[in-house]
Amino acid sequence: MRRCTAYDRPPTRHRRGAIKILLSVPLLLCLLAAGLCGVAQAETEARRVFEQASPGVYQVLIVDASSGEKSAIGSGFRVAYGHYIATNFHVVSDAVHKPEKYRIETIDNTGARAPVALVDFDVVHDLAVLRAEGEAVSGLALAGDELGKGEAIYSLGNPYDLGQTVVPGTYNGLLERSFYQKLLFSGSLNPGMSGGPALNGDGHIVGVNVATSGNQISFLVPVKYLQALLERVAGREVALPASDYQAEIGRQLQADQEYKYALLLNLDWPAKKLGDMQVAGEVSAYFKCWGDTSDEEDNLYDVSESACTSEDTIFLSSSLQTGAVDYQYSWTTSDDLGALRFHRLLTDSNGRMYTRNPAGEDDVTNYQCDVAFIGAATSPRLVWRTVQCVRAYKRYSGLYDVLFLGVMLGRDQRSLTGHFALSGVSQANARAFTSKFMALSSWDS
Amino acid sequence: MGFVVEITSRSGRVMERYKATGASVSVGRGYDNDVIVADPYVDVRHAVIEETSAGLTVRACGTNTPVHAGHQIVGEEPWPIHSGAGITLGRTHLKVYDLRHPVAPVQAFDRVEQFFASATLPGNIGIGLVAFLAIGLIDMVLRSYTEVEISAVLQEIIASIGITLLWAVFWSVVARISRGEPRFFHHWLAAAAAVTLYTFGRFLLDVVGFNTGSSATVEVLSFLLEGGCLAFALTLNLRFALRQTTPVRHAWAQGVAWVFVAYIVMTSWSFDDLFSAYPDYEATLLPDDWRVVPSISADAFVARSGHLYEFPAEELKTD
Repeated sequence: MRRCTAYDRPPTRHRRGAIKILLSVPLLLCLLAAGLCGVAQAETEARRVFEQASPGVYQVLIVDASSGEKSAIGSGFRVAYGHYIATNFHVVSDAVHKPEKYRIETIDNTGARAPVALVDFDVVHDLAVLRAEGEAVSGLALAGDELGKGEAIYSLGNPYDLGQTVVPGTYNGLLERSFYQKLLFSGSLNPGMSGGPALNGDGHIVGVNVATSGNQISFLVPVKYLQALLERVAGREVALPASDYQAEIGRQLQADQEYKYALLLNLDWPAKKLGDMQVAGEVSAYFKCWGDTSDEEDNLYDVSESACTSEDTIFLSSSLQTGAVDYQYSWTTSDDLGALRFHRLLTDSNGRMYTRNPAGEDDVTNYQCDVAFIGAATSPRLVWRTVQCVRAYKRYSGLYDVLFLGVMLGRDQRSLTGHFALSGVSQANARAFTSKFMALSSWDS
Repeated sequence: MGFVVEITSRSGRVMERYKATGASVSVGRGYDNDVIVADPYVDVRHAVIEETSAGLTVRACGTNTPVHAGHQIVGEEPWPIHSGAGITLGRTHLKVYDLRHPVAPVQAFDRVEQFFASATLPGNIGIGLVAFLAIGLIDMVLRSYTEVEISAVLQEIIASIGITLLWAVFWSVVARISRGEPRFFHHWLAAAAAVTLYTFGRFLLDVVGFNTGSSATVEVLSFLLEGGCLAFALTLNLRFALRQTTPVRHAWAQGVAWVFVAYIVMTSWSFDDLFSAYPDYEATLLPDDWRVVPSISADAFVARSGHLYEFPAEELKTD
């Protein structure tokens, strides 16, 4: 038989190879077993973390007072020792803005439903602290150590109202291009998990579930912001009264924009060249910049664009997100269009400007605009037609959305458009930003 | 031989024609006259026009208000007049022709007018409806083009001509039904004049908007311009199609146009109070040569922007 003869032959090169393969099989089996062991270990760890943390994790319900039915859901968790439950601000925002219409309730892992009261919140970092009635109990502990990239994290919550779930994933560092630190969690967060805890292998809280971009790209609020909020809550003798909610949000937004614009305005904005002009480059690492240039030969005109946007927005309600800073430039040239047609092109290209802030009638006023021709001191022939529009926040005094559009009237059919949109900014900061923005763009030839 | 007496308007348009059956014709307010005029400044029997072997004559009948033949005041003695002469009594204008006076040759319809004149009434109505729908469709297509591409400009011009032609077709049908003559060219000229006026007016408004930045004012002015051009075209079309000549008679046509404008203006004003997610700043950009407003410095612009942050207390109210 062929197999036998093979064994009778003296060891040849092929035979030695076969022996090596045979010897390596147990090794591969061992590695496979080790992998399986690792998976099994991860499963065991996830199960252990879930079993350990599950009693401290709640589903948070926003209940319509009239019908008694839930209108929104999220997650929350007991924290420290006492009565406090942490969640996201955006989970409870309806109850913050309309406390007479909505109330907050929780459901624990046994299915017991109980009313809770809002104690305090941090709109900037999207956190809120609730107070449960009854006896004080121990909550989940906050993690003290820094996380290492690649470390396993377990996120808990109630996705889609399907019941308590544990999602294993990996810590992938802090978001660097953000005004506010967030943890990048490579795991799948889903609607309903917002406000749930993210735990390390020891079962300690490392972050709070807050957002997802899909495809296992999710974000957590670092635990240090929760720690700061809890310290503020501990210093408070009574819960924040509902009548003070709006004022407190306004105060937090004001403080945040002061911090953010102090940072931006004190930076030396790097200049870069766009066409024949100097424009602002990437002002700071908090912006993401993109660019594009049309290069089709048949075009009657060419446009180069550069747009920078801040990644951060602050959720206040489903109709109002604020805090974004965007700016963009476009350089338009044409050899084929006459002056009137070229300016018609500029008209069409700049027909509409807006903020990323989808505010509603109850949130903001209509815009007020001012139009002017601005002459450059250095070049008398260089004139900008400039529009600035401002709308005020109705609930948060002293905060505005500001739009700016400057179109350089085409010099030999060459024109630069500069545009920025600031949301949730004070008058002083908006005016300082406008000055700095206009000072940067200058003719380079 | 015989002669003909015409009662005309001051501008010479014929109101009535009377053919003399005898050698003389009496003119006055009295019912026993051959030519009866309803002019309070004309006597019961005011004048007599006669045909003699020497030619046509006119004489007054001893009235207080004079009878003019050309620039001559005519007395009770017969005054000779030539065929085609004008006679004025009171505020009534007459023309007298002998029967040998040459008559203007007949005017032929052009091909388009002939087409409508020969079409049946239902056919005319059908063409009119199709033309009206086509105007709407072309206008819709027109608005979808920008003006940067030259082909789009040409398309716009062609479409504008198309719209005016179709407009003229519509009114030709009305004219054909109303008075049996389409007068297509007149209607087209009225529409083309209105479109041209609007185009130039719109450009002037763009210049105003470019300099002032007040898009709301420009918008209202543009509605007024649209209404004015519409009223202009309608007035002429109604005049050509329905013989609506006096201001009172075609006032209702202009009324329709201006009620339309007033409605749009009022509506746009009411929109001003509504919430808008976008600022109302849009204006056509033009080269710097069209700027009449002086430029200011960037510092001055920022310094004066303080008023933008001041909002009336009622606007800041929440529901």
